[in-house]
Amino acid sequence: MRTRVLLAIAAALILVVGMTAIASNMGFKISIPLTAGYTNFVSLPYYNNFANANELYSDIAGCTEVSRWDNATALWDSYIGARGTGFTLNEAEALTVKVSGTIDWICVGSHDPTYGLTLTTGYTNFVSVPYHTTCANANELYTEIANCTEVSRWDNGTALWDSYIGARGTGFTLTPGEGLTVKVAATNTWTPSHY
Amino acid sequence: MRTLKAGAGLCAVCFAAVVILQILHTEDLGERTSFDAASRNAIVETVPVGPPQQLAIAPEVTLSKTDHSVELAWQGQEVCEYIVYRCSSPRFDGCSVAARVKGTSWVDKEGGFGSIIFYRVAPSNEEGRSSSGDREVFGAEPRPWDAASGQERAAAVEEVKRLVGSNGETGAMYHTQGSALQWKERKT
Repeated sequence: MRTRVLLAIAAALILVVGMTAIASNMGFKISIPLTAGYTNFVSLPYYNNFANANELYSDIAGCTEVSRWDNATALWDSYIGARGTGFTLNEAEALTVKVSGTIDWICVGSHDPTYGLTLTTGYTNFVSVPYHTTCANANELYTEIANCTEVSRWDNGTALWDSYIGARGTGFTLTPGEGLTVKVAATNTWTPSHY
Repeated sequence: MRTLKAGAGLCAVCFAAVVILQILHTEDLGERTSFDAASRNAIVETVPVGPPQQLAIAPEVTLSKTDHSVELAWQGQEVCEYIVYRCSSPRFDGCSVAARVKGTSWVDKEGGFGSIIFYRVAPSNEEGRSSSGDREVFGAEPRPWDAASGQERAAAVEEVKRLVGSNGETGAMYHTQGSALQWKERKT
């Protein structure tokens, strides 16, 4: 009898193991509006098909410039398509893109759920928030990031930074595909929440 | 006695497999989830008992553009069937199955869905969905990836499995983190 019970439990375990199905990381196809005459802050999927600035530049019709903010030099590192491959793209880093004509750029990729983004104190960290973040607005992102002091987006309409410093309200609404900047009071690693 | 030892050995192997799966699952989440009484009591999945399934592990999906289409590719076995889910919401509320694919890639030739489309791929094992005519539509039932999204749902789905036998008997079992599998309920 005892043997039968053991075998029954073993069979049930095999059944449970066999039926455990876990879905993949999430994939995305997004249409990112890029406006001519403006600096467009964009966030790419954490897994994308671009190794360097040249590959991104070549994929965007009418692209005139791809840039990243280099905290080490406190300068913009820009690629304007002249020659070479430009800078290497870093996972979860927001970029700026300029285009000669307004377009909706189709970008595809998927998420890296294990990626932890290092946010450095004293710097303006350019971050890509996952498209499937659980945060709806600046306040929720501010609350999720440890030691956060500021979350900002560039507003092309006003040509000003729209910053949330946690004082009150919810701040601006997060838009998939839009790059943001984050400041923190202490360096830490942030693994973004997501659906 | 030999049978008893064999049974115990089989149990040990199975338990190890469950622990490995749980570790893999937790790594996919990127964080360890808490386990509380509320989630333990939740009954979250209904799966038919059928032929033995392959060990299903989360495939990592990558996307690339091909002309005006999107190609999805994932890790897995060419002989196995996978379900591709496609939705305009990251919550995948009320979305249909985009395709059932035998193999490890699929091309989405459809446009639409506005500015963003979300994709998921899961091994096909008939769970977490209901049928509506020719289309399989998600309703209130939990979906396979609920286990990999959100701490509370992760804890609930990961810990609880409901089983429905071919002759109508039902039962559910759960395993707490780091402990052996236990029966939660059983009805015939």
